[in-house]
Amino acid sequence: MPDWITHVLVAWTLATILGFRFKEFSQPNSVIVILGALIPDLVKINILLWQLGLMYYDNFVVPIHLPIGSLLIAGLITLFFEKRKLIFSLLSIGILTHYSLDLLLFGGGIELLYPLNYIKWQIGIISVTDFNITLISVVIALVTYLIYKTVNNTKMVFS
Amino acid sequence: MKFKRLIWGSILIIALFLLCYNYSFNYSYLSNHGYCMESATAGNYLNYSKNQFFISSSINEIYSDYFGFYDMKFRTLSGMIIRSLFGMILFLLIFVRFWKFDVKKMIIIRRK
Repeated sequence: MPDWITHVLVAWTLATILGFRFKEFSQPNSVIVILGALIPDLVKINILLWQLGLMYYDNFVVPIHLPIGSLLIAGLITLFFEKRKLIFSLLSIGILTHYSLDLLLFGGGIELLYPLNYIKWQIGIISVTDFNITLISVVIALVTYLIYKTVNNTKMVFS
Repeated sequence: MKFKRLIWGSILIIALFLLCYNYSFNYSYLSNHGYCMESATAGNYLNYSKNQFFISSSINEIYSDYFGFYDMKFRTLSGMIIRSLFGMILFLLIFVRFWKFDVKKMIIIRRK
């Protein structure tokens, strides 16, 4: 799967671009979108389980990396915020970016419709070991950041 | 308000537990009956290219025997752990920049 750097940058880039049009996607709220993008990868707790010799519970945490599990965790996180509908929406957008990237991979697939069925879905155009996707996301994020700074400075000059 | 959150939290945790238990149970059942279900994460350990090895470890050649591959798994594992930890620390630093936890309300609010 794309690494966390890619997920963070893609989520931030999307939130910032949407922020030019919708005020809900402010920089503080874009952090929530990034949080949503990292939720499915909480499944990496299984690395800890492996290290502790508890590999038999490896499959127990897999649903965290499925849409239904990620949305349940998003719901749990939402309980710690005030504007719950907005926060849940932002987390869901972040989760969506994560799965959009992961579906591009080949090698395994994701059971998108679990628990309705166990069919694994994938588009399969990028290798899980491909580092180029990280480089591309860095470049796009940099460009977005420069545009964001320019737009902000222009607003400050004219206000 | 806090009681309502507690109720919702309990419901969500129970739902998550049932989901995980169901998946794990079905995986064990199907595996024991001859079906092969891939874990969504297992493939990551065994499918790293040379690029990933260079980034995550000091290994400069890939061994072809099982022992070397097994050794490779843990070296790339440490690289994955380090990158994930780095990403998490970076995210937490940015998160703390904009948000803080209000102890009285037991809720996360935006910094002004």
